Amino acid sequence: MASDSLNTMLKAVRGTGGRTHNELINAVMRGDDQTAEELFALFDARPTAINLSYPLNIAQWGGDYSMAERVARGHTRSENADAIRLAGHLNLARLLVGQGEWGAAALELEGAADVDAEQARMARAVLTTLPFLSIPRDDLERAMEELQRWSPPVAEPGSPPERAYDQHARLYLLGLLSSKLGDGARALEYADAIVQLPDEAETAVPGELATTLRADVAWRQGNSPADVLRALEPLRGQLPAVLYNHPVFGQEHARYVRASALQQAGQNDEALRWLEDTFIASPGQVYYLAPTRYLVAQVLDASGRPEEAAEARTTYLELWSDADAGISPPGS
Amino acid sequence: MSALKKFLDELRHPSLWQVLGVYLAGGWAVFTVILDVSEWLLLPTWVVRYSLVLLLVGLPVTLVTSYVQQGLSRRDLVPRTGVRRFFTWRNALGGGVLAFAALGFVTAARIVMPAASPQPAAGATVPQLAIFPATVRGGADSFLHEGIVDLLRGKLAVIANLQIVDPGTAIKAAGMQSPEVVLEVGRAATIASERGWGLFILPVITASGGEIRIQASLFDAESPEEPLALADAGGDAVDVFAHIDELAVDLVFAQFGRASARLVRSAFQGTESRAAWENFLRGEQAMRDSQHDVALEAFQSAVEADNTFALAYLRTAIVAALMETDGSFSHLVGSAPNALPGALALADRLDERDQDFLDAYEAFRAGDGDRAEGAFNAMLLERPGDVEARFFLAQTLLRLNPVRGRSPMEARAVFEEVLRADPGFTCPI
Repeated sequence: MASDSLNTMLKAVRGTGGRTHNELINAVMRGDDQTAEELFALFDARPTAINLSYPLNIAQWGGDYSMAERVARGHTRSENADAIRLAGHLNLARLLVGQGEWGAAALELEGAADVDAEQARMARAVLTTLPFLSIPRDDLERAMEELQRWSPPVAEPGSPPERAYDQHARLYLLGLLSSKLGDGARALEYADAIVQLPDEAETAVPGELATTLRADVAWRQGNSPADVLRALEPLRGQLPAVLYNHPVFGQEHARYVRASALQQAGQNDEALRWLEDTFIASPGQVYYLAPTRYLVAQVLDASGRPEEAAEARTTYLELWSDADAGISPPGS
Repeated sequence: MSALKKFLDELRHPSLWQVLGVYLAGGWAVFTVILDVSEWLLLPTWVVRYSLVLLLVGLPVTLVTSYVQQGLSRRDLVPRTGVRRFFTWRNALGGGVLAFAALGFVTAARIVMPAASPQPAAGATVPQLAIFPATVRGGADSFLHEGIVDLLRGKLAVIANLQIVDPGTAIKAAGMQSPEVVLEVGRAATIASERGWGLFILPVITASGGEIRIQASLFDAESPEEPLALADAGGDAVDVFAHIDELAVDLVFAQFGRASARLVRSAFQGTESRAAWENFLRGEQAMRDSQHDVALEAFQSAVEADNTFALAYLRTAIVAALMETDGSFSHLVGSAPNALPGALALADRLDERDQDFLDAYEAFRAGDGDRAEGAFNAMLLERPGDVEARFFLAQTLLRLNPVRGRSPMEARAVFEEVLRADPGFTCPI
């Protein structure tokens, strides 16, 4: 159906840019490398007029990490647009984390820093704070130092909307890093500080970040699953549209912590629902896929569904077959 | 005889030619006033027809009265019969006043107690009206080819118990390769009938030497041999948007009656600025072509031309939202942060459908999934054919379901409904 819809759309799109763009998506869906390469070259000459995230997303969402990697590597070779090169490095870093290859991902973050140090810093902070990823302490401390040095400016009119929450994002990430480094008390102070920051639009964002941070502290400190779930109760499940695709604000961290607590509490059906349903096509699906498959396998084992559990475990193992030594979801 | 006495005598006993001249001049004046009042108040067409009949009947009566009264003054031309007593100026004038008073009374009665407009039976579907693109001749602005669909949709959306097919859906279904192409009635009927659109409008726009003429025919898709209604308007090409307004009122009046036509006349689409309209319509066309960067700039130009143009603010916000997932467009999207606040501030200038859409869309943008889902569903209950509302319902489920602990895959069925309604729907997948 998706392919049929796409072909119908290709016939209907009348603008040249739109048609070529959709042809690229179609090539990616078909796994047609040659056509995709030709279209990448075309787009590279007109970098501001197309949307390169869709082909990448389609490859990722389809689980075709090798095509996604080729798309992202194609972007890193762009000679005409720093933005595309930067997107290539950052997407590669995410893809590599999705395969448990933190060392290789860190190299891509260095490449990204050469183009845009600020974006690279944010991406590093996001990836190091992922709830399932155990990475060297030095890398955590480096991310922390970078964030502490960062002093987000007041958002100017006309700047991207998410900039209004830069200060919130900084405190949130510092809090998650503190929690991950074992300083729960400090993390809770950051949570309190987040809700003290001004929010001109009066959205749910500050409250959702602070709640997630408090739940993360409870989860990492080994509190009972009931405590963790209680800490998540204030979440309103609201997310302003401009922040859907921002990995800091998308609430995937909270969903993973919730699913993990539900699994630990033996609430298997509920855990399965959150794991199976709520990471589909999310901004971080590419790196949450393996650890959520791992948790799904555990839940299915506990539910007496060994064959399905084996299938989920196979997906996880295939994705993380080349993972760095010592990288694995908690408890594996 | 003094000159003054002679003049007064002439006034008392005018010649037949004088009476005829006065009657024709007076009748013309009365008829002009009736025409103006009738158009302004959207009176039924029979008012004008019967007025003309009364004036025509009054002419021989007046001439006979004049003849009789002249004969009476000369005493030898007219015998002393009852005719003299009947054909007096008093009777003639009184009869005329009575006849027009009766016509006025009947008209007023019909306005106060209008015939009940047909209501769809419980469970019956509300008819869908497709407005097809115009055939444009003689070098008229080509943006009017599709633009008239947006313009008429905006005007006709106020009619109760009628669903206007989404402009993009109708335009793509028509499949006209260029503005000059003629969409034959039979072909249009087939297109409409296949899609369950009971009614359709075929417009034609002809330009010539600074003048523009716009014609539109309304057809029943199942029996398109004769149009249900015809309307045309035209004049100076500079006033094209006023002519289209006039056309819409006439067409609706002819088919749906005075009350609907009044609604259409009073529907305010948001701008008096020709530049704003032109840019807006170009933006709509670019949006349908998936050229979102072009559409954004066009809508922003429309807002620049008229900063009270609420609909242009709303469309700017929507197209910016469609683009914002792509970092390459951030330099454009960043320039549209005031679009949604602008639309909200001017919401009372939008029609009912667009106000409903704005409410739902605002909830979606604010990330309130429950409110957005409820509002889009409410819109679709009332207007099941609203493809844009259905698309954003799907977007709501896709984007906001995960944070609510629900699967974004719920959006799939809704996206498929969008594609069934409009296989050419080209918003981002």
